[in-house]
Amino acid sequence: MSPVKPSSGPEPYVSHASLFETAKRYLTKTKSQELLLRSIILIFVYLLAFCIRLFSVLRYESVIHEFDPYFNYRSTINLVQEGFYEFWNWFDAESWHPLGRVVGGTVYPGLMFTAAILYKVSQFLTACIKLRDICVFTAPFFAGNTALIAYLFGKELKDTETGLVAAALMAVVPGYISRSVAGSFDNEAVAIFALVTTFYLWVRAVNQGTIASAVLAAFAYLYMAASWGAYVFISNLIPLYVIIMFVSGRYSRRIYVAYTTFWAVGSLLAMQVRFIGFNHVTSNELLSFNGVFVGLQVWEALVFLRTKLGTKQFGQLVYLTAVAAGAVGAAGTAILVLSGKLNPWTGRFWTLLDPTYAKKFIPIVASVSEHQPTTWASYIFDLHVLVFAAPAGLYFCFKRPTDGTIFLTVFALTAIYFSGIMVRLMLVAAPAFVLLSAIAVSSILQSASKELRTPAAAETKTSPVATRRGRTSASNEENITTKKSTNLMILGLTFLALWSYSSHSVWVTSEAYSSPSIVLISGWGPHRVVLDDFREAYYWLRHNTAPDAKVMSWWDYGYQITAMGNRTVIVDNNTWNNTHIATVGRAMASNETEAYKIMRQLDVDYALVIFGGMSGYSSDDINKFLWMVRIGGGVFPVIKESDYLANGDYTVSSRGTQTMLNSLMYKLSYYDFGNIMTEHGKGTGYDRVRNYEIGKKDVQLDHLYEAFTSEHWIVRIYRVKDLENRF
Amino acid sequence: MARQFLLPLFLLAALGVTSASKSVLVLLQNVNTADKYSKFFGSLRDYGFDISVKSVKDSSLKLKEYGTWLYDDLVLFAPPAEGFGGKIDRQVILEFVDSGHNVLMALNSDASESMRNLAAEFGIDVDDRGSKVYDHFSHATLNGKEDHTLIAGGNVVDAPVMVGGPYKEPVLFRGIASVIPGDAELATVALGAPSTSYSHAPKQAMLEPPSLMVGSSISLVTAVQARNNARVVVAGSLEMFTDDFFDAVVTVKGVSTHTSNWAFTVTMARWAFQDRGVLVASNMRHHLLGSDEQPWGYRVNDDVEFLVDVVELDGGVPKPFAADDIQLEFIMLNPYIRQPLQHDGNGTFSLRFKVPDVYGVFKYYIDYAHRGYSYIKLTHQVPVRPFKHNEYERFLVCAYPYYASAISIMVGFFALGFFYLYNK
Repeated sequence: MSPVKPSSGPEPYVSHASLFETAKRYLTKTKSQELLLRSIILIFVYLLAFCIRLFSVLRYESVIHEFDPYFNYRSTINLVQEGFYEFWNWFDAESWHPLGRVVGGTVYPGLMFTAAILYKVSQFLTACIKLRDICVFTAPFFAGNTALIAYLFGKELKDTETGLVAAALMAVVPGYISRSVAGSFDNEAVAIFALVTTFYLWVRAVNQGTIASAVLAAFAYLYMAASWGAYVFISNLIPLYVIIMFVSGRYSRRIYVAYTTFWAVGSLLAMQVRFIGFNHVTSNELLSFNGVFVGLQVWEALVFLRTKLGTKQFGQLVYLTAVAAGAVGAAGTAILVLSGKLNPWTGRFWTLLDPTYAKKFIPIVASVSEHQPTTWASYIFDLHVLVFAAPAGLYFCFKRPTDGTIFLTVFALTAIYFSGIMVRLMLVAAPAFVLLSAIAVSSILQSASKELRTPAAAETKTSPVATRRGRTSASNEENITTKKSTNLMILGLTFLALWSYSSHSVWVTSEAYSSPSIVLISGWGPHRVVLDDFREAYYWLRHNTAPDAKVMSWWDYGYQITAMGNRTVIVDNNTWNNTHIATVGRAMASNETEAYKIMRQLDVDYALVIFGGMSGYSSDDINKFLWMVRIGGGVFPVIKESDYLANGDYTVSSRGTQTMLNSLMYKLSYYDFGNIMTEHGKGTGYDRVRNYEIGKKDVQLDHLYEAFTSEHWIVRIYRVKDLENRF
Repeated sequence: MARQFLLPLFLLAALGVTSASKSVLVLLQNVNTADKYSKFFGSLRDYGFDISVKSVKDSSLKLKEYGTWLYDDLVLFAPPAEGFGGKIDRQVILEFVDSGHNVLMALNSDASESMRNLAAEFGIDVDDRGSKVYDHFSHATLNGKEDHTLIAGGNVVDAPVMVGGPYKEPVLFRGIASVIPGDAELATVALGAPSTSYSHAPKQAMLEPPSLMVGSSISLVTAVQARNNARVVVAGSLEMFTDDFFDAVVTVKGVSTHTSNWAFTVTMARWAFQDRGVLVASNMRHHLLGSDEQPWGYRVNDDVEFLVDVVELDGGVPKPFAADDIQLEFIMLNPYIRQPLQHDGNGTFSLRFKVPDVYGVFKYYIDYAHRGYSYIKLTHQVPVRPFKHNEYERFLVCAYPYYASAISIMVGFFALGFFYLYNK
């Protein structure tokens, strides 16, 4: 590959022999051997973290996965093509028709900036990498970086060995892999890196107590705030940590310096993100972040004043200050809340505190599968042996508490709580589990291997003592051998646990987390069928419809249609306007005549549904339909959920209600399906997802006609007719 | 975008060429009776129509050959015909209309089922076979015979572009009644029945009330303009097109008078064949005030001007259209602006307005449906974006306290730092 360099001849003063000598001398030192070993391990960890995430590319191809990544990809294209300022002010007229979306002001741009910078750098280095490939490989690349940061974090928390274990565990933890395989071009891909970096730099700032280190942490916080909405987790966790340190009597000037600097610089930086802006000051979600800052200042002022004033005067001052602060604070809060300056608690926030909140009040939040509460199985699935190692780590943290380990404990406990509420937040818990487990594993390994090694050394050293006290030597030796075997056993068990952890991770990654969900594969070996219906349909839209055509579909597919089909959509995965989504839900749930009115009002040209009855693809629109009914009914009470349920049962069989069987969604899904035999031995119109024959086989469409149906019937597109010419 | 501008121009060009000789196919029950309508056809020929008369049963009949339409307009003067010869049937005629061509059909009380079904396709309900329109008050006496089915008191609709007029002399009518059902949005009454009239089939027993078709709910001549601007006229009387009725001198309520049939029917036919009342909107454009370029979109609160040229074609000759009731809407889900366009007398309609303080994908929308004129329906999409980050006003007077506080903090910090560091 590399061209042969013209040989410049041997260097005049350094012969090969002397170079070899230098290297040999250097390598024989224990310290440099250890450094070399550590570097090699880290390089391998880095490569491992990168490579384990490439299953999807090898199995399928280099494509962007799922839903949200398509928006990120499209935004990145816009950023690269139009430039920074155009992206910053981007008003997207192709989504949320006719409302449009101010993308520049409603997006966390960190991911797009990252990919765009990587692209520019590769261009500068004359490496011709396609933007799509940059986007596909951003997540694995950052997973490697996260592993390195985990090394630094572990080192900061305990020691180098912990760092190495943390890096290795982090590289393959399935909870993190689930969101960072190649092609998963989502905010979390870079945000977990930013999160771990911020925590690492924060602990470092607390340990060092310098302004410079806190400023560094604030910049990491900026990256997090620019990348993911979970930055709020950081800006609540750090004040919580400060409060705990304060209460437990470990509060120090180092913490004061770190927090005050972090607050000032971090707030200013985070406010530069357009989506956050002044929310960072006014939002209730960040009340503790700002409140703790004020509290610290008051405390320090009091401490300062106490040294200057007498006890009596000081007591009066404290009393006066408390009364004044209480009155002003209460009045101020009341005014802010009443005038609406203090944002109300958002639903997503309530969900974190009360897991049942969303199900009761916000169907649109509850309808997202990644917002569901976590099951125990998924802890084992995503963390495996870490679930058992982490409590041990907690034990070690409590045994020898430092500022760093206390932070880790707080981080871990809150992360575990939040991960129990929402599946998605498993992602945040994974680093905490990794670090705790790293502490546990390295502590066990250290003590075990030390015990293994010391007897040999002790024997030679203590042999004169042993001869002097011959009586104890026999039992001592016996003791040593049993200890040795115990320690060997401990080492072996640890090795087994880690080995099963790594094989589990590889298995999970290859089986569960590497499907792009835009291309589906069913069956094995010679019966393998590749279902590429999504792209087939989106490219059909791109090439066969008017450039300004509007496509109505359920919001799940909005990002994909705009990115791959390049057509305007009514609603998409950025669920910012519940009413608009409810309008689409209402159209899907209404009968055809009613739906036609809604579609005409929204200028809809095409209606698109995902249908699995033919292929057995189970996450289709009929299975999501009840959510459409609920979301539509939440805004438009004419839609009632009970009308769609046959005696409380959701069914599209002949038991289904008339409302159900006449809804637009039923018609669009099952148009012409009644004539089809899908399985041997079953009647026509046998739905392979629901496993029964559909209720109404003769579906007639008046206001729409079928424009396109993909190979396996997964995507069906209908054209909305114009008004009748003569009536 | 370009398509929207070009289409009317092509249309204009097409109309300009074809109006020289628009070919009309006339189908009669009996070709030998063509002389009865000589004045009617003669007048149409004078207006430049190329008329070919054929029998409805002619086996060589065809409207379409090799995918092109052979005629621009179709006249059906064969009420009793149960079907058509050659390659014409109801479906072909509907297709003919749906592709923008026009039909004039005349019926009488002997109208066949197939003719009534055809009328029903255009949203017109024709009464049963054998029924006639009676009026015991507003009828005419022709040649000394008093005939209660010879209606002379019909109400010509007040739409001169469609029917001409106003007429001093009555329009004679003898034939079958029609009504326009409530859900037919596109049909309109061109000649309404007098309020004292009713429809009745003499061979059947008199009902009480006589029929559902009573008084002014009866339409004698009905005009339909389809959404693609194709026009259909259904007259309940074939006789009203005859030379006899054109030349007749009748006595109505004791007063002797000529009839307006000639002028009425010819005007009506010219309207039906899109020779009158055709509006063509073209050259739709919009720009910011102070700029001639058409932008991709606007910013909120921009001042903009919208312009469109509308001409009226009369006999194929364009002349500037003038009306005060063409409304422009600026819609995003709801119309934010709905205002009449101003015209300058030369056919250019315009409106200046301020874009609302709401961003989104707006559309200009004109939906002009004035009775007698062809529809104008224009839509054009314009995104309205919010301010860019550098487009907000700077150095606001009301923000001076904030500037002052920021600067004072900086100065104070500097002074304090200086004092703290160097004042030992």
